[in-house]
Amino acid sequence: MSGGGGGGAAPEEGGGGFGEGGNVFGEAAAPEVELNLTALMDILSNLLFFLLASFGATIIMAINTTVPTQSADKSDVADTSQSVTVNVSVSKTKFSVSATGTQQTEADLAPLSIAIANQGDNPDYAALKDHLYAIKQKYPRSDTMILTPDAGIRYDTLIKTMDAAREKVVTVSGTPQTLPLFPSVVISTLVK
Amino acid sequence: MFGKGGKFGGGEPDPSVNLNLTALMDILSNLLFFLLASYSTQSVELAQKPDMKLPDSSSQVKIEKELTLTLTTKELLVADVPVATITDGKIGGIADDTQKIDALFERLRSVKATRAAAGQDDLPGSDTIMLLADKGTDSTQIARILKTAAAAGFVKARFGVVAQ
Repeated sequence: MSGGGGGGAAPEEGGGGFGEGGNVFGEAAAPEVELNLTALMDILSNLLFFLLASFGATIIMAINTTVPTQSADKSDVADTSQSVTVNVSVSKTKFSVSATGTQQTEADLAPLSIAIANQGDNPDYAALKDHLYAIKQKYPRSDTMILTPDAGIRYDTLIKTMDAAREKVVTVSGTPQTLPLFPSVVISTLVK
Repeated sequence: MFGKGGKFGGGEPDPSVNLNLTALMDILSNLLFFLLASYSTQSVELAQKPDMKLPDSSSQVKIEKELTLTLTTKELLVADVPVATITDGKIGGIADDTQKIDALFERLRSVKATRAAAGQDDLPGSDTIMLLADKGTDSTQIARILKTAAAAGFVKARFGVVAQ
């Protein structure tokens, strides 16, 4: 095997111009060099197959969450007038959304409570996102969602609900921007 | 061996063939650099189990090296060590109203004690678990794992998901 590349294989022109095979200084022409690329090809092929085999590995990301814990000095319930804590219950037929906050009256919070029925067999994630966006616009410092799945709800549904609640792409002055909605998720369960 | 000519005694001998490998080398080099650049994008590798399919998610949070709990359709593992089996979709075959999973709790307490003995219980991420669970798992089982982990001192959790 020889490297027929541009490196060593100078075109032979029959020694034209500078005498018999010489250059402008009258020196003899350098002998033609043939690079042996076999070893390099071997190494490259090995590396390539190794990297190709590794490249197919799935990229795994993470979603942060916590569980409710008892604490004397901290609470998940929002305590400013610009923030509320959203409660989302997931059942097999609907999302139930409500909000809590220590600085809001019941009259303030009541309109935020809605039920979002499934679209066919699937939960309506788009409607949930829109409602959470509306809450976020009204209480912009909110970031915490308490997620309560019913028994029988698949883990996959839980993850998709968290995805819907995490962020929303909105257009501001003609430029699409990602607005965080409720990225802090606390997973709770109903007390029976 | 075959006389002056070719193998069959006549004609000219076969000319030596010089393969032009320039284009091949070019492609191989490009591929190599591309793959090498992509290879280091994920700093932590997690082994997926054949009986576990992670859910897809749009999350862009990168994983970090943490204590990994794996919930497949057949068993629950802590750092690849089995601690409980899954029977009828329930961890250890225990009814859902029993929130704490004893085997998991004992194992996590043991990990916590080992870290404390090594002086590593105050490091960042020492109270966090990475949960890899099959996407078809009942969320009640997920909640049980999280509550058991919290009771053992791991109050934060990360869900491992497949990037969309």
